[in-house]
Amino acid sequence: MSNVSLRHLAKRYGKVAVVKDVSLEIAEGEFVSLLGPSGCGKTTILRMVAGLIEPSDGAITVGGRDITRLPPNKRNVGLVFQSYALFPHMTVFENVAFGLRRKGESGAALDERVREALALVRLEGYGDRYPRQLSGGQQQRVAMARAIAPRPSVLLFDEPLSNLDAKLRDEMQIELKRLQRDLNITTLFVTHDQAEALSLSDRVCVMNDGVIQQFDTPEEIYHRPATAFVASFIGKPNRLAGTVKDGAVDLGDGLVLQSSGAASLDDGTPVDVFIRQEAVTLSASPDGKGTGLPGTIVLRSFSGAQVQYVVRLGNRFEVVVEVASSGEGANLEQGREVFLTIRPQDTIILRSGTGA
Amino acid sequence: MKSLRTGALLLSPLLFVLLAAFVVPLLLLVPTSFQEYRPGEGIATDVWTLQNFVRIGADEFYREVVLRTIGLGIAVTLSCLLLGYPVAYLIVRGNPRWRLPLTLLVIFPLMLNLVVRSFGWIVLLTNRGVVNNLLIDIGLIDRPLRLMFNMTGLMIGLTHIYLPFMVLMLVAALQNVPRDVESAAATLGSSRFHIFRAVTLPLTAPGIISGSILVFVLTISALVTPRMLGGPTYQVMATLIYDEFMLLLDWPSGSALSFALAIATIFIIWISSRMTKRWAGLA
Amino acid sequence: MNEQRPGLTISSVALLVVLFLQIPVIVVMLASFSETSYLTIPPQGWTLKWFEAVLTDRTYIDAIKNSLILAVGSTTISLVLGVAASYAIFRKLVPGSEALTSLLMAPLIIPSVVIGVALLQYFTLVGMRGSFWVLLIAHVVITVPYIVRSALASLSGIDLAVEEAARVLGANGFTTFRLVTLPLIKPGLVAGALFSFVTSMENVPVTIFLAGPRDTTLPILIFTSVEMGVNPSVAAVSTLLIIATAIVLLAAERWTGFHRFV
Repeated sequence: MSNVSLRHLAKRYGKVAVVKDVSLEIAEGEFVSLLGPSGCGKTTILRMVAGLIEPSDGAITVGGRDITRLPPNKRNVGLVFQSYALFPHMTVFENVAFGLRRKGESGAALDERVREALALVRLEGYGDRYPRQLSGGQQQRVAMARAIAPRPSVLLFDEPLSNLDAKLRDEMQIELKRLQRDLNITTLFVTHDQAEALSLSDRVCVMNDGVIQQFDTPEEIYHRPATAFVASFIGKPNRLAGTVKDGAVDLGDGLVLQSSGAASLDDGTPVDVFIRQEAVTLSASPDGKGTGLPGTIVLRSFSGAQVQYVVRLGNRFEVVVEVASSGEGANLEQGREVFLTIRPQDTIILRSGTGA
Repeated sequence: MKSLRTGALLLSPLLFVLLAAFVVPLLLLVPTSFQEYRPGEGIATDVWTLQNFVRIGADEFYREVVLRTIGLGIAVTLSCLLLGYPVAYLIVRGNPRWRLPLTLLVIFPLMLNLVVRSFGWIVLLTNRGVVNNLLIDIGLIDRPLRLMFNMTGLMIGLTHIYLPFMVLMLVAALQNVPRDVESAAATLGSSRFHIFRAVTLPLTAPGIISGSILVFVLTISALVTPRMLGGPTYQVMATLIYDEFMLLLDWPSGSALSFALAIATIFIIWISSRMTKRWAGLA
Repeated sequence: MNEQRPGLTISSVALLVVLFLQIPVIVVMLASFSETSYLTIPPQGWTLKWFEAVLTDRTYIDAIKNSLILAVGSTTISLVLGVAASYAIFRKLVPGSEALTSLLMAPLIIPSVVIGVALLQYFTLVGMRGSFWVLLIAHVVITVPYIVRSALASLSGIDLAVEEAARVLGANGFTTFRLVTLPLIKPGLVAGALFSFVTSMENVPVTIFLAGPRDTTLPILIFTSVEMGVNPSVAAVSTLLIIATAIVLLAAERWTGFHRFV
């Protein structure tokens, strides 16, 4: 059993608290991402699990075993660094063999397990090379092979893909997911890239300022953010401020937005409404039911698969709308009057002042 | 803390050696420097006197030695700077294929035994040495020139000894001057000389300062070359300290002189490190 | 606007200065092969007799042996003590790393002759003057700054994550140092050790105050014998040193790219 649990974990440097009372339960074989802006404490948590930073408070257990005060070499975790941290003076083989040798592995058994690990990351035959002779992506894979070779009970990733270019990053994401699923190792993945976190993880833990904002599945995080921070951090939402009136949101200037969450709120409650760019439909004429919001296109920009519009609503708001470039409403010119349709269930409504 | 214990364990052997065979011996020079040496009797431990320090400034012989040492330091520093800058410039800005051989030719004398280098200059500069023989053979002079046991000999020898240090310092400084800045000055219409004066020279000033300080400090504390090329009569501070300890047995006076020399070098290095720190903020 | 290259004047001046740096070397080598006891240009007659004189002279052989023992011994001790101390300072295992570094580097700043007389007085007081061990410890003091300097510089070039990676992979602190840190700082340490060796090999100002009559080193021997005038066997032994230095320098350059560490 290699479930990981963090209980009331905290890290303070003098008076500065980097991680404040974080509790987290990760099931065996689960892939969990720690997602947040830089300085949110996610890397500190990872390094505490690895044993590279000593927690000020709290406990870490892996498979029921308390490892809070163990040195890193006694924890049996695998860590993939942002800089890869390959041993530059050792061959790929020796890099991957390093952890195995520390466990007393040698001879044919060692050879076999190194070969196995290199095969998993599709680097068979690279054993004699030195890290400097490899591309960034290959170095990344050696780092992964090195981490998984000793069969750790937990795999830790510290922004492992951030040094790769966009195309390679997408490839590695798929490979990483496949690898983790095949090996079924409990994984904690630190990233500031939300797309990466959402696509890889079973559950995502969004953090800000040393505190967990929301810990849930990617779908829940995306569609039902618990706090304004999560709502604004995930995706590229438009944020509109208004007040609740008769089960809808009054945005001023005569604009009224239907929102399914508004019914449960009292009239006059100040709220923020978050609307994702792709949740908006644009049409050149009103839909007849009179629910479309009238606006003016101020800017149009084409980016391949999508077209983005900046639409002016009344005097206070500018909304960014993204539509598929092959679909309807992709060829509206600048300056044109349009109508925006947003399904009430696609709006995210939060009381003003619930953080961020 | 566990790390503190490991750290203490790693540091203590060396700290012990330095304390026992460096710090304490140096501190023990201090009381000696305030004692009195009586010729024929030895060191009087019951008297405390400032005489040893007063003498360095007041006695004509001592004053001459101190001033000579300082003058030598300044002269050697300036000649190292003048000779070293072109070499450093050629190494950094010249044909890249020459860089390694030139650097090695500069390092080589530095790695070579100091006594051997000084001996080479004796072979060259002595009365019947290479230089005098050559000048007499081609008929430029009738009698040998006096090239040793005076300022000339020490200047030549010490410049040769410390020139590599200056070159290496200047190389480091020149490498830090971005080529783009020089190119920018050129596109703005500067002549080559003007680029050098207005851009390169000011940007290498920290290197010039630290190189000069290094050469100056090494020169004023040099013992081997001044003794080998200056002989027992043409004294500088270091050779005088040597004689007072080894020949005259006037340890109090030698201690005072040692103390003065050590304080001077520490002070100069302290000042210069403060200066370069301030410069580093500007450059 | 082409790349600015130094002009002809600067280049010629620079090359002359580099030549000036080699002059004593050339002269010493010529003198060691010359028949006459005073070198003339061009040299008159070639001979190897001065080399023979050196290599059959017990005084020289003993001095060379003493110098080598001292240089190898002090460099080895300095390496062990200096690397350990540098590592503790670099990893900030103890407070006051800046002050500690200054202390370890101090023997470079204090004039050697002052260190020499201080040790002379001190070891006379404690009654150990003339002992070979005293000489060895004194050489550790003057060579250790070179080791500390190169160790600290090399350590600061290592990605700390590499050490952490080794720790996470199951290596304890010492194994990490042995298998990862040490191999990575080795080129710098080789350069530092070479400096340390050379410093010990050529030291006069400290050695001359401490060496007992049986511990005379080669530089002391040359230093004292030239007071009697120019002696061609000094030129011969110097030539041997020049050749040894050149070989070591070129070897070090080949193995570690030595000039980067100077």
